[in-house]
Amino acid sequence: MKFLIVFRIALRAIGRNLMRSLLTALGIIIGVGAVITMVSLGEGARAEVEEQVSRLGQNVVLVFPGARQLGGVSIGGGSANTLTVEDARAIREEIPEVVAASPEVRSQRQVVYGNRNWFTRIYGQSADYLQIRQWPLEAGRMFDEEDVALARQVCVVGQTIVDELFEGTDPVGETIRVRGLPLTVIGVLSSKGMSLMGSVQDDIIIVPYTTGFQRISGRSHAMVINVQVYDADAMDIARLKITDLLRERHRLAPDQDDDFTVQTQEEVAAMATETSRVMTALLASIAGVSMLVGGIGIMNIMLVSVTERTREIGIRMAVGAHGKHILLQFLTEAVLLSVLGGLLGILSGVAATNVIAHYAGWPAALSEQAVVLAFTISAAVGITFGFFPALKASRLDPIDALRHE
Amino acid sequence: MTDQAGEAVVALEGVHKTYGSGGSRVAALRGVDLMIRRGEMLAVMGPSGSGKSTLMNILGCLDRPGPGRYLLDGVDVARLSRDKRADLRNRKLGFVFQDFHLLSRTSALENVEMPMLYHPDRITRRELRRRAEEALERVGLADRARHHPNQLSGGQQQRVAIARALVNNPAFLLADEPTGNLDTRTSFEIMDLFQELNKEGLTVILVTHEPEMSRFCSRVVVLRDGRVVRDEPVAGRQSAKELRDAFDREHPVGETLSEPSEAS
Repeated sequence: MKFLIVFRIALRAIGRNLMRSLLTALGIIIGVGAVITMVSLGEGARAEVEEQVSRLGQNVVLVFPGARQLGGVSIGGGSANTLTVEDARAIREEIPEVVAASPEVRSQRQVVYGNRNWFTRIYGQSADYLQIRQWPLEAGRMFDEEDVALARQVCVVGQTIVDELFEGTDPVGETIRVRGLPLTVIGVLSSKGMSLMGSVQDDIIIVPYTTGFQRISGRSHAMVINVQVYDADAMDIARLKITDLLRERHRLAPDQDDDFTVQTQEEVAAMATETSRVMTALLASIAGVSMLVGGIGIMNIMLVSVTERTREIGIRMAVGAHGKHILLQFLTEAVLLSVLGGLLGILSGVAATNVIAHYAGWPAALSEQAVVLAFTISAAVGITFGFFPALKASRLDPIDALRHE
Repeated sequence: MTDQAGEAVVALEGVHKTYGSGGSRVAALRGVDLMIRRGEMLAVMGPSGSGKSTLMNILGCLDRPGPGRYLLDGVDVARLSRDKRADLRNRKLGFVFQDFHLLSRTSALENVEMPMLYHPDRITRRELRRRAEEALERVGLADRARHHPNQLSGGQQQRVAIARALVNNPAFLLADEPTGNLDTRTSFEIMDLFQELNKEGLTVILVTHEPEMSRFCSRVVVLRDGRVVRDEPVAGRQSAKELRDAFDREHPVGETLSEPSEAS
């Protein structure tokens, strides 16, 4: 018996109960659609994070306040007050492998220019921060050591600030106000791109850390110290030396734990990867559950279908169908049902991804792997959950099946 | 089918069949001997419980005989596997049922093509269609090929079923109460079709409880309590066509008795 004929019979059986078939496949459609959407958005976010991490700069070591915690360090919090501006200066001056060190302080403030205002993040950094980040300027200049030493009221601004406050006009030389404190714009940062993380990165104002600590945040401790080492091979040495130096400066006894954490760019990247792995596992389990539910739906409807069509099975057997013909017919129907569900799910997932990416401005990378996997899994679900009903159909006794009402 | 008239198509020797087990055993057949020759038109009759259905299931290779021998066209059926019996049904047998058993929402043509899909030999699509159309033409329904069963009268549906039974050139037709769901005039038409096919050399086995239907056959076998109690040629075999014409004379309006659109 030709497979094409089996395929046609199955297709027709599905078409005959189109509404029921669609509802049956809905579990698979939703499951696959959700997974495609989530994976695509997750993939986009992961690519962004990777990009961002790589943009942290070359040979960068980050020193965080507070001890290393289980399951990673709180990067954003600045949870402890153990790192000072002097620590940063000491790292830079006393460790020969270090070429730059920038004590960072962050604040979120309302910024005013003329009759416009914008809520943004203000970073206090050292003059060599852009070198550490390898972040070029688009216009103007970066503040220098003197600006830092004198805590001058100058700043460089990101692209979002240019757009929101200056409506795209050249801001260099203009003065903005942060809680009444005037800051002269001396430079414009190049854009990080029109994506989720990019637009967040562009929404930034950088001031000398002295200005940041004293005039804006009112804090006295660094949230993180960005350190650049001259060579990749010197990273480990630099790291050990930073640890020793800070332990000494913080007067830690040998039995005391570090009150700071030194991490390389690779470790931060590894953490991001770990996070995405956890996310992927989560998605996989969601996918698994929805596929299971979808598969049970298919099994259920196939059992109904076998019962409904008992007489048809009897007729086919009477005129010479083998058990395996019947098995193949119902199995094909189940697989077709789940694969059609999978295809519809992929389509709806791609559509949802594009809609979300477009309207929410999130980055999305359609994962071909996820599409192929979703398709394969839906076919496998069809085989797995269609097999029992098909086997049941193939084992019917033709005499009983013919008599079935 | 027309060759070698007189050769045994069916040979049953001391066939028994018992259902159930232990104390609740029911003997449906208790030693049936039956020889059916090519070209015969046989009526199997008997009251319910006589073993008629059991015999039909065994003749139709749907069920295995118990002790005893069943040779179908020289093949020993008793020892065949499930799949081999399915192949035998496919190639050697044509079933016609009381309630037609057509696949609904499937055209007459595709219903007739269906047995060929399960034929052990590969049949091309073109050949499939040609043979199905030929079979439909043979039962006088060439113009109804695209109709679905629910668009056909009961008589027409039974004709489609007969075309389906014929399409693989079977050794014999096995008809189980083929006129049980049909009105008198349509019954005559269907019996006329059987008689014509029989005249062309096809062996027909008719299982029925209506004595008047047996009068169209060449031989009657009566079962009772699982045994053949009578086996004799029909004296004064009737022509279904003549009876139909007589029926039309008696009911001159002719009405649409044979054309109810919804049957079964």
